[in-house]
Amino acid sequence: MATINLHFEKLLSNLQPPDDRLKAARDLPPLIRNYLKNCSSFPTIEPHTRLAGSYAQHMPSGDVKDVDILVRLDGDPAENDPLAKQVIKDLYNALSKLTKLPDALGEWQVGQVEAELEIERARRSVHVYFKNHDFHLDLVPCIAPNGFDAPLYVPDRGYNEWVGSHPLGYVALLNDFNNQHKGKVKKLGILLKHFRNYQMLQRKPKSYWLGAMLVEYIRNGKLDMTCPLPVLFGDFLDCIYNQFAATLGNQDAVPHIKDPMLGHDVSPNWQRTHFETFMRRVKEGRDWANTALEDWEAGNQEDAIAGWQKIFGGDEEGYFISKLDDEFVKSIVAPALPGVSFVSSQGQLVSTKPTTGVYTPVKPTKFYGHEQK
Amino acid sequence: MSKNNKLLVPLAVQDLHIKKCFDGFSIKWLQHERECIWFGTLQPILDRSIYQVAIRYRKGGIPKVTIKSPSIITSAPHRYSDNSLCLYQPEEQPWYGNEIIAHTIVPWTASWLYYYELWLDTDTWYGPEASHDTKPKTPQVESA
Repeated sequence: MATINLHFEKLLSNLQPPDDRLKAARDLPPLIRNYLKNCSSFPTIEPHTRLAGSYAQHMPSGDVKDVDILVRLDGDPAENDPLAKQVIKDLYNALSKLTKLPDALGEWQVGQVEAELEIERARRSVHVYFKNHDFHLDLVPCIAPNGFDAPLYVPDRGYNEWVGSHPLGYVALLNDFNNQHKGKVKKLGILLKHFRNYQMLQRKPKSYWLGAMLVEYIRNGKLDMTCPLPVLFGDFLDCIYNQFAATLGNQDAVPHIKDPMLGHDVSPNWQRTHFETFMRRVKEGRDWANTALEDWEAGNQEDAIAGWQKIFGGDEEGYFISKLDDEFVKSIVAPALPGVSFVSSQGQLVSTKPTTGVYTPVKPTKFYGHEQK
Repeated sequence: MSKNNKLLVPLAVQDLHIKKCFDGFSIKWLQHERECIWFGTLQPILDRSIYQVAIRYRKGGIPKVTIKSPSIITSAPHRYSDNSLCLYQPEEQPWYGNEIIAHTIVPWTASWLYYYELWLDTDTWYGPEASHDTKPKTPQVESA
């Protein structure tokens, strides 16, 4: 019986952001950093800015059009110095000047600058929209007494206070889990985000909430990370449904999702109707996943693929593809070609010899003969 | 001196090379140490199956590789009738006892398993393969 893993690998490759998004995520943050570093009206301190959010996590799912950037300031959050509300306003004013500097953002700014940039204040950030590129930057001011890699404080404009956050700690934790579990953690995160995007056009829970759920289940051993990805995906939805089933049965209640790093409630504004919609989708997705897994086990590959397509979208949308194309398969074939590949001491095949570890070259050979009758 | 007349590598030396290159391989001696079986594991693709491998070898003979678990499905290509793996074309590229198993047979086994995994997914063997004419497929014959 064939395995479904390659189909999932193909799905994940289809969920990579387009090249122009990756380029924007790579090129824009340094330009913004340089601008703010030299901006006298909004003093920042070394190292001025840092990428955060899904691009920093290496966990974007699909055509992610926004990049989160932390902007480091000097200050004392306990004294509300500078004033949280004022900081957003000052950063907004500083970024508004971008529209008068046609060269500040290089190739990302052409023609009439004012017509191309849209700048707005949000609750905790200033939002810059590059209309011509349909791309967004969310600049989040922060006081980071011990640097970006330690807990820091971000402003809450509504309450005019600084609140704790540890976005880069979360990135580091994801990286650790991902390494421990052979790359499956981020793949699972990407799949869940895509599931949400595909199944829920509105009332979507935030990506960070989904990430927090994932981290909690891994921490508490609720997910058997030795399982293959398709099984894990079904189990992940099952964990979510089971965790929140009691809350769903409690009229008007909404779950409180804990920040995976600092423990505070990160979903205080989750509305009951939105939560109910999410749970309906999770239940449907879990049931479809279970059926698809059973179909695959039973050798009903067409039904299984149709099931996964119901969950993730199919050939028409370019997500879960019925038939794998040769080019994709060849890209997977290359690392093991005898004569050019190397094998690790555990037996893993790689096309480039890593600098550390024991790797043995795979001498040329040809496997012999035809299918055994 | 022809290649097959070169000095045969002693089993103990083969064992040293295998243990140097691959983790978790152990040797079981047979026939008063004239023959042996190495048991070990190979995981050709991260996150996929870990295969239990057995390599049976007698000095001067031909290594025979079988997969103990998980079971290789019966219709899998490139195996002999005893289910051992066809890792090379004996007529084009015979294996000689002066070669190092850790540098040939084990890496080829990992490569075979890699392509087997892809074959499971696609029903296509993407690895390099020797054409097989109408002659019956036979393993390399051991020299006397």
